[in-house]
Amino acid sequence: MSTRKKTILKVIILGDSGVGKTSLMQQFINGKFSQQYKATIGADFLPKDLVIDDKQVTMQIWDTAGQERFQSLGVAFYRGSDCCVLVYDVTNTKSFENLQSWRDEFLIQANIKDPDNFPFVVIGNKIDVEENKRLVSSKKAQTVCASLGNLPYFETSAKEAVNVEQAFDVVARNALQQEESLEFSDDYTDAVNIHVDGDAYGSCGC
Amino acid sequence: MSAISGSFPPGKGQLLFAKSKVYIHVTSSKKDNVVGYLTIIKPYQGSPNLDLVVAYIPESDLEKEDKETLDYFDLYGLDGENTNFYGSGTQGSNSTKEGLSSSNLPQVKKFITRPKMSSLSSYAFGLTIANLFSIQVRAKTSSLWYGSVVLHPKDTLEKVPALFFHDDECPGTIREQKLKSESFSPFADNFNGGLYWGGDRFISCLRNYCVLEYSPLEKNMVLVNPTKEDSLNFIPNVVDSKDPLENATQSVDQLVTKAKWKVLTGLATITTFAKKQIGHVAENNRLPEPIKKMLQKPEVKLIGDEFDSANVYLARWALAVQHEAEKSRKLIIGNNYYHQLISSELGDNFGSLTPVELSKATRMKPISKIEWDNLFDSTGRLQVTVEEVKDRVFHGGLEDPVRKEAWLFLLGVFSWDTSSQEREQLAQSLENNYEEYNQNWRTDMERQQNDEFWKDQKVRIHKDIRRTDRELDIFKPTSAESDEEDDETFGNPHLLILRDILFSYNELNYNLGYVQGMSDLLSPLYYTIRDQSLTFWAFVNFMEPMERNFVKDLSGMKLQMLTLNELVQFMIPDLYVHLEKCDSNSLFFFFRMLLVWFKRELSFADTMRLWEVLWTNYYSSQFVIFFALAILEKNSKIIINTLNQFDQILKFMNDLSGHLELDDLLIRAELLFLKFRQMVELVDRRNANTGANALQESSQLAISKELRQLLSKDPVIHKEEPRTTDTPFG
Repeated sequence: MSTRKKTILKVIILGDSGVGKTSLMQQFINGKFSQQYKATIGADFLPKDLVIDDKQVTMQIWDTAGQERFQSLGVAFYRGSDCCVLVYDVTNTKSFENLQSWRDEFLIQANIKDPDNFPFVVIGNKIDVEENKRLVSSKKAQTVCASLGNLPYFETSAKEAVNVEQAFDVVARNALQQEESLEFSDDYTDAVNIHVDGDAYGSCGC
Repeated sequence: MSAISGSFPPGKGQLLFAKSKVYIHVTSSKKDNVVGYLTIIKPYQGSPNLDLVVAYIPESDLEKEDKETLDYFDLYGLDGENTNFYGSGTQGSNSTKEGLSSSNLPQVKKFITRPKMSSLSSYAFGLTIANLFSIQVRAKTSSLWYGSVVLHPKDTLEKVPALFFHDDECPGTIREQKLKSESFSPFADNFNGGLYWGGDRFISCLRNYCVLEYSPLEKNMVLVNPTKEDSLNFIPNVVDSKDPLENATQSVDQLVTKAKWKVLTGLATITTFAKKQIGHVAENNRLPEPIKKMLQKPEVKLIGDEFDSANVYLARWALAVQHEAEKSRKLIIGNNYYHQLISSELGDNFGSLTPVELSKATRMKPISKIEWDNLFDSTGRLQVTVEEVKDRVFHGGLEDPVRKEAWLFLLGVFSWDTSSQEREQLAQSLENNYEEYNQNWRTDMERQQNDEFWKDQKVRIHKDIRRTDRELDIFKPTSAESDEEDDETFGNPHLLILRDILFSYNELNYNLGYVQGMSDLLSPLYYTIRDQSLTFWAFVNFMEPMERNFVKDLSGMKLQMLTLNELVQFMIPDLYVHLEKCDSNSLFFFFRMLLVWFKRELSFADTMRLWEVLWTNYYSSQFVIFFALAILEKNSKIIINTLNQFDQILKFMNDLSGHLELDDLLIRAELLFLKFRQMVELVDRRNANTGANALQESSQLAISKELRQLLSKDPVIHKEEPRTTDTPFG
């Protein structure tokens, strides 16, 4: 199978500073957790090759800075996303309350044409903490996710690799579905314009 | 050359070779394929061999008459309807690589309309033999159904798509295969012993008009009319070995560094058209043996571990090779290296730099403790000029033991004209001042409990301190460290100091507060100075010019990005054009780099070196932008040749982290600055000379405010707006 044929899924991770976006991405991609991740500045970008139902895909995960002021950089990063992962920290109520504004901000910045059907996945991270430190209950999170449009919800521990695979599996599937629906409706414009010309020329035959 | 007289019909060229059913695989979808003829054409009567054109003509471009001529030629070649093709001795084993004598001149003369050298509306292209540098040949094998060739022009900016020979559809190849199976002698040129395919005929025919050399380093690469230098560089000296290829793989490091860079970038050059095939090669593990060997080297493997697409992969590979090649060249050419490098990179303009300027463009040794101490008299007063010290720091940096004291000067905590006694007194009063800020936040319990902004800042600072340079010994986690982010038990006392400094800065610069990235700026200062109040004041002064990086609306960053953008247009226009095509001219992969002055991209030690160089404001208070420009300049060829999309470029730039060569980049940055200054002067002079009459014309060349600001040594100060109660957090 050629690289050209390979589908590229662009996934963007958003959420408050310190909720574990980088850790989740690293756990998913490299199967590792480190205490030593640095605060993300700007954006980082990592690819992972996956097979979904016999289909080869490359998932590009875009990890973003959590501090609000860096979000005005977002436009260029958000463009062309196939799925958006919203992350909060189950020990941090505020990060949970901010989910909706992250979602809204994304929809505006990424200029999503059909917001109702754009795939989001919500992740509550850090469930490895002791029960008494947990401030957002599963039930509450599920209720809110349902109200935001039945968003798929996962509780994970990037530290102990709990549920990370499962969450990203859904991310990948939903992204693939989104990508395929886009491919169907959108004319995929190639970076090299000559293609368009050449195709037109070639198809007229002689 | 032609011995046979006969005139060329007007507008026509003579066919020397034609192969039908040669395809361009535009996408992976068959329906997008373009079909056409690969030809060798003599454009004019008496054209020398170097002017012969290798042309690809899509069928759709052809008139009926020309198409018939090409089909005839595809089937019968120069010999007409004889069994021999093109008069080349296909029956004999005495066919040599040196080409054929004049006895094999064309017997059948066929003409077609002179082909286009390039076309916007179709895939037609033509390259003269003189402009051919090399040909990548991928023969048909049992796993590769279609063999292909990629022509690499000498002008590396030109790219042409890979050509696939669909032998099963091509009447000429089918006929040849039939002839071959009837004859016992193997085709001399098909020496790989592989399946006979259309590309074999192309190569053997081309060989009649130029010298082709296969390289043992890259067995699929054929060099066209290689110069002595090309041969020496590309074809290693393996006289004693029976199997050159095997020998080549054993000393791959040596070979790679010997290999001419141009050839290697040529290898890595891929177009959108050829991308698919390259991917194929990589996936099929069909990389040439020396390259595979090299990829197994741990450091290269590290770079290559997580590639996502063939382009990014190849760009990295090219980078690794370039790195190696340059390292060795540096050793060989020594002092002349930079001169040569820059004159080739920047063109002839470089020659107009004065020898004095040039001589400064080498790095010096860092200042040692002894050298530093000798700059001061017995009372601890500087006995040379500040400019001299800055010159020295700019070009060499500081050894570690000098840093603590020198940084306090560079950051303006101590003024240069003080004696050591005065500095001691100053340090004491600075400590008292610091304590005020430190006590301010500590004692304000009301705010600690009720101010949302404050609480927000606290959480943020605590989070970030826990993830700043923890790999350094002094910041290593201790067992007492709590997992909880807003817990005050850091365990490690140094973290607590960082925390206090940032809280105190939050007091002093209430409008700005703490913003992510500041902990990165603080850490090297504390690491070096190791004194709480002195570090605080050094940080405060460092933040003066850096404040614009952190203002809420990001306008300071945007202005710097814009300045860099203009600078790239001004200095490396061809790269800029390419970046524009790839939607990357926003250059915002430099965002993080400019925000915290390359702290995340460089090692801790290199970060300290870069910063002390930048703090001198020796040429410009914004020299960091020239450092960014140097990175682009150094990688511009790779970017132009291999990266075609926004995310590829972003990834490539992100991946430069940990692979930036500080000294080399500093030299480039300096020379780029000098060249920039020179160009600005040139433009100014021209504008002054043309006078007011030509104002309209000359206004096109006017230097923008942003660019002119780059010449200033005065720091750009841009403060945060006063914070109101309803200013949102963050």
